[in-house]
Amino acid sequence: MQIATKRHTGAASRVRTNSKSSLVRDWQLYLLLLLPLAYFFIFKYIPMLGAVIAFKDYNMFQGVLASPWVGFETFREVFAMNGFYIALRNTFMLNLLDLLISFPIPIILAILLNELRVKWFKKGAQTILYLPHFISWVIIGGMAIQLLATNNGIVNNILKSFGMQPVPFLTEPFYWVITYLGIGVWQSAGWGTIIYLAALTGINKDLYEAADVDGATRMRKIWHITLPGIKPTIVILLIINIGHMATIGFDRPFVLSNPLVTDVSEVISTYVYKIGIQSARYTIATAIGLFQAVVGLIFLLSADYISRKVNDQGIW
Amino acid sequence: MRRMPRKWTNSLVALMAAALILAGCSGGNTQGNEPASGGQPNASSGQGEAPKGDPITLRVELFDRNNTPAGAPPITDNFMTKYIQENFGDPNNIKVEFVTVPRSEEVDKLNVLMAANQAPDIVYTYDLPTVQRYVKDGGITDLGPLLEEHGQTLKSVLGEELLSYGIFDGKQYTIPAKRVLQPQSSTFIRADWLEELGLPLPETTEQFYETMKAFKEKKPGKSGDNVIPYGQMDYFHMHPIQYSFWEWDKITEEDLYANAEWLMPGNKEGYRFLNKMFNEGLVDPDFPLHMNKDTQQFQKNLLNGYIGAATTNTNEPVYMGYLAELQKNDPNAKLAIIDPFTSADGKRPKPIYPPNGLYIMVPKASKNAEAAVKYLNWMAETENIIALQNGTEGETYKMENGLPVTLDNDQAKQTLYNYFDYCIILNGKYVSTTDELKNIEANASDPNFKDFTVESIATGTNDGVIKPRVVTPIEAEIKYAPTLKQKDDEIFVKVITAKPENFDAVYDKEVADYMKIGGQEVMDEKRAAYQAEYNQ
Repeated sequence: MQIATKRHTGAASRVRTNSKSSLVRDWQLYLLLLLPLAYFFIFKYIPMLGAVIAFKDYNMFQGVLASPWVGFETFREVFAMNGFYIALRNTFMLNLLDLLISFPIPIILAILLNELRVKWFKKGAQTILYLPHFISWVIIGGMAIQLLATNNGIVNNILKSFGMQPVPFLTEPFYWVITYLGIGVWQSAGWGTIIYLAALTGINKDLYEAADVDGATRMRKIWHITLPGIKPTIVILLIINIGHMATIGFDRPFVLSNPLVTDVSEVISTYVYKIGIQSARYTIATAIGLFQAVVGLIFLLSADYISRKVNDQGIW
Repeated sequence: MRRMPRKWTNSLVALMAAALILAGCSGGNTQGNEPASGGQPNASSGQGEAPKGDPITLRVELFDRNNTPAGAPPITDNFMTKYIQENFGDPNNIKVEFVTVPRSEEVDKLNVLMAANQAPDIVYTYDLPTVQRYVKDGGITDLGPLLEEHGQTLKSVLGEELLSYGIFDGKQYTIPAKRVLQPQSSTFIRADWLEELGLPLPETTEQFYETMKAFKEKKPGKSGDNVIPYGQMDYFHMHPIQYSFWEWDKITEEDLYANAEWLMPGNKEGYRFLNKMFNEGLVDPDFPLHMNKDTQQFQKNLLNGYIGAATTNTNEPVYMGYLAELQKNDPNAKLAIIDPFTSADGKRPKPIYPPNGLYIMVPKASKNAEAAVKYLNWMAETENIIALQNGTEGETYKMENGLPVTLDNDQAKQTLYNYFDYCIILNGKYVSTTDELKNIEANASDPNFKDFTVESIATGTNDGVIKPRVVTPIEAEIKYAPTLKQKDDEIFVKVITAKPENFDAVYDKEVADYMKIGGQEVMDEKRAAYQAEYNQ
């Protein structure tokens, strides 16, 4: 790690001293860079200006600029909504559980795959694990109903044929949360292993050989070599995940929810869709979006700060 | 060797630059083009003395229902659009262009088009709060003067009373379509199952319940253990049952208009009945998972022969084609129309639609309001109504006793599957201003099921109730409508699936919650508006 930072600062200082001449010499490369920069500017930064409607009484016929300013009125209204707090609570709850359960699983899977010695089996297992990632949530939602419906779902039909009570996977809040988490793991865990597997290939093989010479067991090697080897990756992904605590995807809670579990399944994204888009109250939707971004930023920065203090590693 | 890579980078840069310029151009073009296609011709029409060779482009919204049969031409270039272009467009030097909007998300899409200033010249929606918001935000053209000048045919077809439904803030901001038939829903039952069990057609709520129990126990037809005696559960289609439990002698006109339905006297008993049916297994036990999400599930269950009875949109089994499909699967299957849900005073009350259909509007940004009104006026001429609803005589329909009857051939199927989306001033087939029965018969689109259609419409209208109308927009309703609608579904599912002993507690708690999240506010404002309008 230290070597890496040194090399990094060295490169930076060289660029700084020769910045002018390198710009002249490599102008073509800088020109090529313009394209992605323009993309980010046009599609990521310019639309941000639209966020001003959170502070305006937006009238779609007058446009963004002509609509009158209202200051923090919209935020006051949002914070007075009962449903907003429920959605916020559910968002944090589902994200936290997701972090606790869905975050470690790709690491474990990646280590398991890494220990496999039979090439074809490893490749096959990887492919099977990735596949669910490519299935659209709409289809997963349909599959969930077919498989897990309380009375006519295949799983419950099997349970019933063994004389067991059907499990209300989708219709009772507690079971719904478990189903939500389980389906999330099934869908994304395999895909999540890719980054860890890439990090694993970077570990020096000599270390394992040395450990073999010292007579270390397989578990010892995992604990003392593999895990420390991918620690930087784990930390960065953890920080990024924590930064996303306040945001939640729309599809997954939307397709899996039903009116019986809205107490736990209504999250910020579905709430914004209902309040903001369906009733064309874009101001409210924008205000909630802005609020989400601010909370996300606070989480991200504090996670980064803590990680720096504890681990001496951060995202910058 | 050092030069080679340099040349290579140079040409690469040139290529990228070219691509960038091209991308920039085409991007600018498509973005600039959209408003221009609405805006450029506007300018010429605004000048009035535009040269003849330069036609106006009139852009018209068109619902895309995603139901084009295989082999049929696209909905923006078929018999209907060609007929419109040839008979209206060409003589008036107007190019009529159709802008498709997905039916299932029409309001969301329309909002976006409006906000982006790219809305077509003629737009429409069924959603009243949306119309009221557009009016409030000043986004719609007042069509009153134009209608007076260019819309006499249209006025005579729609009539003064109906047109008054389109007046907001004292101005004719919208033109309401005429709803030819007003029933909302009708109930059918498997007549062959009744025959098999030797049961009569149920005529009261009690008999209906007993019949459903018999279906559950005896599993007639091919249903077996999958039998679902009463098929389709959702808030909208349970209204005949709901209304039949209301205590009508305790409900004033003002209550009917302003009360949250959950608070109506007797409403709770209606849901207790549904709760009982659920707990005795007389309805689909998994209905909360399909409701409003997977409407196909109901049709699948029916076609598989699991369903004994159901309340659907009036005539839906015919116009959606699943009655024909059912009889193809099972030639013995027979559906009979029933009207069993009876109130304490012996009536069979059920909601019916008001006489207006969708609201047609011209956005303020459009410069083609005059052409738009001319278009609608042209559409109101009898021969154009007949052509746009029935196609070509001899090819897709024939005249019988003064009624256009759809022919049973492929061309008719490929031409008429979405006829209602072109003649937007009418909801439903229309042949006579005086003879209601003729209009009903004209709507029996499938000649094989004419009796079923006529009976559906008759029972669907029987003792129909229209809620009173108040012209003032209800601010709270504009604001809370989507939230409350979702809450309706939530309460519906929770109270019906509750254990019988918890029913009262769940009902009271959920309804209190409904009132808290906006229901009370809507109700108070509606009461005030009603009193302001009627009690002075």
